[in-house]
Amino acid sequence: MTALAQKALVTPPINAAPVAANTIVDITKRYGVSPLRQLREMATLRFARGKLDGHEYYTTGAFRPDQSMDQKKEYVGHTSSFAVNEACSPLKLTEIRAFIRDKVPYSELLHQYGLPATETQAVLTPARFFGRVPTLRTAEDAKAFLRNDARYPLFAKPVEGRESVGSVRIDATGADGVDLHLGNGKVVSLDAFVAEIVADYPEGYIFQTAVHQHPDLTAITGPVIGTMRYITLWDGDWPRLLYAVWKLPSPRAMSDNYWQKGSMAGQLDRETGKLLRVRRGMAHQIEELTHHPVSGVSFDGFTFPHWKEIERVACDAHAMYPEMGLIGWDMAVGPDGPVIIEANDNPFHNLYQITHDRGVRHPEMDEAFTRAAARSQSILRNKIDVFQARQKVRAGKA
Amino acid sequence: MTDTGIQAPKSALLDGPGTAKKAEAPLIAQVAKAYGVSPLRQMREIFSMRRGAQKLSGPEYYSMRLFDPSKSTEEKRAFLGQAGINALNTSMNPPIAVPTRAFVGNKLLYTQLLTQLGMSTSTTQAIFSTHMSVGHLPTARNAADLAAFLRTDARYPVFGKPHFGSLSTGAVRIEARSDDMLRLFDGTTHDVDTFAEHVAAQYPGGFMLQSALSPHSAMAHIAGPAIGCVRVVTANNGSGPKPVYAVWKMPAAGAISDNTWQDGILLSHIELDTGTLLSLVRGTGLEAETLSDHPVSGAPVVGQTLPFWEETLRLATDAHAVFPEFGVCGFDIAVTDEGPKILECNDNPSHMMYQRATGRGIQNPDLAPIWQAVVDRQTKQVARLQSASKGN
Repeated sequence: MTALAQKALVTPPINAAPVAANTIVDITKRYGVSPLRQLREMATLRFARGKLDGHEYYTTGAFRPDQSMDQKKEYVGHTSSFAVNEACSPLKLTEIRAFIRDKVPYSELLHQYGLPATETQAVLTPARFFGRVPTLRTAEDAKAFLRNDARYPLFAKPVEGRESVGSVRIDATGADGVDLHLGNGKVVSLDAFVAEIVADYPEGYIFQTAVHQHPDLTAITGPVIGTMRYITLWDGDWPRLLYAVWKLPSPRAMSDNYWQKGSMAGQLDRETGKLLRVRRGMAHQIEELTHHPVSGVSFDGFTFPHWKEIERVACDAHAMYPEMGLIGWDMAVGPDGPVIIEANDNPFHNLYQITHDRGVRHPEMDEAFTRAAARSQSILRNKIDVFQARQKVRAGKA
Repeated sequence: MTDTGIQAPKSALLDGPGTAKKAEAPLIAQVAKAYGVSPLRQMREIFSMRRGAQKLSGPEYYSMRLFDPSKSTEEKRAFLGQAGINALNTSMNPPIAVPTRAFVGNKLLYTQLLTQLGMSTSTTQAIFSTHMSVGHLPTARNAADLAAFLRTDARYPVFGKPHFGSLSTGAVRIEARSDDMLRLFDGTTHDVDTFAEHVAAQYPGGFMLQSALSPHSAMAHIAGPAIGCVRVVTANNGSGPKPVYAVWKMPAAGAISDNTWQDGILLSHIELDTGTLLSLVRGTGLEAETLSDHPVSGAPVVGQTLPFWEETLRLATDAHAVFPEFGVCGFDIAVTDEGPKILECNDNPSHMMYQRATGRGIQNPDLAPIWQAVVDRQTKQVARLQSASKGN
């Protein structure tokens, strides 16, 4: 790995640290929750169905004294979030998820079906082949692509990875082709950049055409894409929107992951796409914002453009994989409508908890999860029954 | 959402094979008489080959003519039964290292991805599915929708098959529609509504309707108008996919597909360097025949060279390189007048057809080191992944 200080790419978040003493003290002072009560609740919630780790007790907001213990038990940590997702999309039934995570071919298949997705300009990969999508085999190939063939602005990211780690927006090359101008205003050496991606991401690196954001969104956040986390759940005979959260990028960031300092998240009304609430930070440092901190634009009354089209695209894309009970979409919205950036087979539901101010397993949501899980179990049982019946038929012919 | 109603008899769709029949006593006696191999020796050999990596069953011992005393013990040891083939393929495509097996097994999505990437494959006109949707591709949701498609939009001839499945089970080729009747490849006619209702009952999980392909004229001259795929097996030991062997599967007379379980099918081993046909065999066991000319058309087979051979091999290795995590792939490729087209990729290719076409075991001294190199690569990869998983 190259030294952290020299990196051009987005670096990963620091692992969850043990809860700092000052967090406990701050919460005691601000919320009147004694350290002993905090510890007692932490122990209770760790063994409740939400399985909150110590730090998740704080990051989810479960420490707040205005909530009953039953309400606190509606929050999920990473472990329980996965359990909810796995119940809706059982691993035995959803082996197809490996393909959904495979960024380049997944996006290409969406194009084949006329669904809007990111355009891959090239892939740096030692051995993989993508047909008409150009492949770059060496560092020299990558340099030549960036100097001569790339259509800027680019959004680039590792073939394998998540949470924007290793991603970068490149707006242009310098006039002499020696430097790259990044989306966060930095200028880096093209050679050093390529050396970094070759060293840190040997499994491959993707160069996409950066999505041009809808002007209504840009007016608020600036040009950096703020995608929507859009969760669809197979409910009844078709997927439907479960919830949607707008991820507003930090003013100095190149992407919109909430772990980047200064990032914000907004609750969206399911029916209309109206922005209901914007929050920044976590735990006791969480704050509610009425205006964007840089543009100064008020959030009040803002409604997402292309709302119905977003729903159509997400549900149609989900319907390609009917065995998946739940999918989390990262969707950008451009002037002409939504663009699917990625599909997540195991989305973490904490953004919902932060923006909606409640645990994701509240009764209404839990009923929807239960219905999706029951459907999946029914499909699984049916598949097993059919397989066994076919085996019997075959054996009977012998 | 899964496929049900599987016991509907006498359908327009192709039924699957049964399991191999147990060896009958007269067969043992026939082998003893014709080859001078005593029943005791046959039993001893069967028992011996059932164990270890070979996993050969009694019926497989006979169908692959392993009783033949002209084969040495080493040569016999190179043969694998289907269970042994499954085990070999699993060690080359271990699920943890090859998580994309489920996608590649989905014929609809896989071929559509190849199309998007610019690799030649069949064209899907529409699908039938009660619940799945695939963007702008026409989707029939019920029997009435399917019947409407067959009456108004279908471009004939059409080849239909389930999204999932193997051995051509459920396949059908529809030559044309006249009024409310569909004419199938075998000359039978079926009412559009009845056909649509039958598909809807049998395959609610998904049935695809593709433009039917015709074989390259030179191949049709030999084997007739039905597509007989070339099976190209490729392997990747980490240095990139390479072809390992190829076999041409010539359909039985009157059949719509080329599955090796159908009576009358012929197999021809193909020389990789040139595309020259090296052998021609029909049948199994005591009924196996080695031929040089096609038994129906009379056209010479052995010594002929297949068209578009370089392109066929390149298409297979390119397609394997889309998912290089696979250690082994078995591509079914239709060679048409326009060039080769991939029809599907098998993640567990049955090497039986190689063993039948060549008379050699799949673990012969030429191929065994190739498989072993792939197994070594995947063993290391699995260890890496398990180690990384524990680290997390």
